[in-house]
Amino acid sequence: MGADRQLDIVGEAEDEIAAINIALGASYMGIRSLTATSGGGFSLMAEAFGLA
Amino acid sequence: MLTDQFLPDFYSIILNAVKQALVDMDLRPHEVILVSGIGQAAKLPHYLRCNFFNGLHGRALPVATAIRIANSDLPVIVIGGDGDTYGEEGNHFIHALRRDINMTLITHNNQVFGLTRGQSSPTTERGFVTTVQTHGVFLDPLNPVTLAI
Repeated sequence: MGADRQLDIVGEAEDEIAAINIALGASYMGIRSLTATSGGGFSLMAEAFGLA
Repeated sequence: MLTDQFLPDFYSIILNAVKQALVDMDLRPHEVILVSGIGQAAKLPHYLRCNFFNGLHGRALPVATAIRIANSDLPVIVIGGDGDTYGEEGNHFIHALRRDINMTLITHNNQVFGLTRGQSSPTTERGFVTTVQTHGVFLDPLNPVTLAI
């Protein structure tokens, strides 16, 4: 996102698995979605990453 | 598309109830979305001709939450079994309740994991014998309605 753009909705999920599944659900509705993580969080996202 | 005649009766009861509810609400196929995970119950949307998202085991609620937030005009129905919803999805179930998103969750509670041939689920009664729990289940069952309230 550039400095002139802003995120419309920012949410905090209960865990990384929920975070990536929420991003997937929003994407399925045609919304541009983003989630970020690192290390062990990405391990939790591995299964849903295959669906992304 | 399969028709009812290929489905066992116990399955058709919930399927027919969902169908009838959609008819009563006068919703056209594109005006509703079903979200499910993995399991016998989670296959229900396959028997309807409408929008659906068949995701991962126990991960239907986060997807449904996002769908409802992204499009608040679209009625969202989440379908799952007791193993799917209260086992794998237990954490998401708690947090979906906290968020209080306007959606419908229908759980087929037959007290076993059906797709993997009858292992005990979080709602299985104490003493119920399965191929894995050969001496009977020794844990008290979860009461999901009490948890929800």
